[in-house]
Amino acid sequence: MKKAAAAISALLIGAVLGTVLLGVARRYLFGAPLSWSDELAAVLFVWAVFWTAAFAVPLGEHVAFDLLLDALPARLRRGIAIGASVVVGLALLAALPKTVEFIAFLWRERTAALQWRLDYVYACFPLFMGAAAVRFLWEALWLCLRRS
Amino acid sequence: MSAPFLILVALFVALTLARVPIAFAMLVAALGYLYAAGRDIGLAADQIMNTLANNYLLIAIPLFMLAANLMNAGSISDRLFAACQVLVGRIKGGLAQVDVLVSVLFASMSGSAVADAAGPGLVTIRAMDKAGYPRGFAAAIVAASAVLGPIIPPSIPMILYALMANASIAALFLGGVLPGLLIAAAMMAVVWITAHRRNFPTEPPIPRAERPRVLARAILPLGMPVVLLGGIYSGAFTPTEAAAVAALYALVLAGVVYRELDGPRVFAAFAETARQTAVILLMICGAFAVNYAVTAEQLDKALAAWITGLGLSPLAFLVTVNLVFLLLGCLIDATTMLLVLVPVLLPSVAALGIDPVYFGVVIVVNITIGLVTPPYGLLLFVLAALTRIPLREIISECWGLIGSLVAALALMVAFPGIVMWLPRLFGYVR
Repeated sequence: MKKAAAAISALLIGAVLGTVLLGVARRYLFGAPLSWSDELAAVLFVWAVFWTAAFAVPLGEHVAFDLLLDALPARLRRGIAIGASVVVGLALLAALPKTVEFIAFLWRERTAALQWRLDYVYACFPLFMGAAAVRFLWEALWLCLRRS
Repeated sequence: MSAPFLILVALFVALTLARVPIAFAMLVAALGYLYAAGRDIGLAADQIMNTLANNYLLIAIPLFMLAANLMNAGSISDRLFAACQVLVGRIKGGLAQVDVLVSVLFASMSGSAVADAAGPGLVTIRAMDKAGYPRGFAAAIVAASAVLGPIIPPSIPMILYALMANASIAALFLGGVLPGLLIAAAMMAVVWITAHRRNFPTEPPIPRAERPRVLARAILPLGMPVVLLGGIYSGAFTPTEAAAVAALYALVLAGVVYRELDGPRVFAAFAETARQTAVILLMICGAFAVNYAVTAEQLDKALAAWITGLGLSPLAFLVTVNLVFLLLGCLIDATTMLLVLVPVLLPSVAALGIDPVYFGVVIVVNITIGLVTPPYGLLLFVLAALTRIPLREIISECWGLIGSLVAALALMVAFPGIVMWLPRLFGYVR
């Protein structure tokens, strides 16, 4: 699972690189600039960002401020970590329906060059939000169970 | 300040102190603001997706990171290191001087400080350990010289600033060149003094006959900044395209010419790039959601009105901002400061008639100094984790080097020409 998610992340980054290079090559080597390469690179880029953030980055790898928490006793630290994870998980979950609604409402709009439906292009954001909510709640549950 | 905005601030502070990743703390705080202000929650998604999908310049970030990761996966760091040993190894404290020079060269290919510390920096620390340098000093000089990464072009923080301030990225990149060289010179001076006082070793001479070969081994890697910056300034490439060409150059060099990359290594470099990209872009997303609230509340304009009302001179403003940022940099993450605090200041900068390019370069130098100022210095943590050298030993050795960084920053504030001379010469600013 983890390996597959990382492989898709790596492929998406590779595709971003390939698309930008293709645009350069078409302009200089073939004298025929592409109208859609910048747009495709941007779509691949947002999917790479949110796919990776949702499935391939451990929560501990994000930038966090740990000066205060590290100075607290272990029990208090665990309690705070559980509480904070629950708050973040529930907040993301609560915001999810409105976010999905908002993105779905974009179905009539299309990207300029490729004419792709914008709701599909932007679907990576609610996907990320839902996955992140689940991961924070899972983290809280795991912290609770580890003790008992 | 309205009640919904106070909710935003309270949520952000509480979640950050509880060690929630800063990106998520910002996102949840912004969602709380939208909810409390009775606005559409979907605006957060709108703000984030439109920013990400419509700023082609942002795509340069993963591509610059990829170029650095591919170089670090191959032997490019070792080649630069060997070449610099020929050049400055014979000075007292030779390996530390080599480290500063390697950082200058690496900085002209990469835009992030962590990539410099984790790549060529580790090579230097290993060599210094063998040569009998105090390990704390080895890590301290590597951390301090790694700040050159985002100062000498290309630069990821400058890309972020260009986006927020709507300033020319080409002008910002040029503005970083002389400050970067000034910092390198200041650091080499500190190393020279320390090396004489504590009798650090000099490197054994490399036989004259071998020197051309060692230098030649570094020629192809040094072609990268030529392609990168030459492409941008000749107008051949946009910065994003230049970053892609640089990544391709690194891939071909390490994979095809030197034959040092196999499938798993290439895959690891791409996967690592994806993770680093997600981490930084998520912070950008959170910051844009928070900045939406700041703009909606017109806090940035209120601050500008207040500051102009004080009758501060531009110089007094710059000195104050720099002092505050240096202090905050000891406690707060650099990216957060750049993404959250700097946009709030931009209307004030404009009101005082300070050039946005000048302000951008000064502020990027300031917040990168924050990467090495304890207690919260990202580079110190990264190096302590990678080398297992105790943080305390690194911190006790880094004060002189931090002093040289702050002195260079003070010179930039006192003499704006250090920043503005090159952008003016190339006609980017008047």
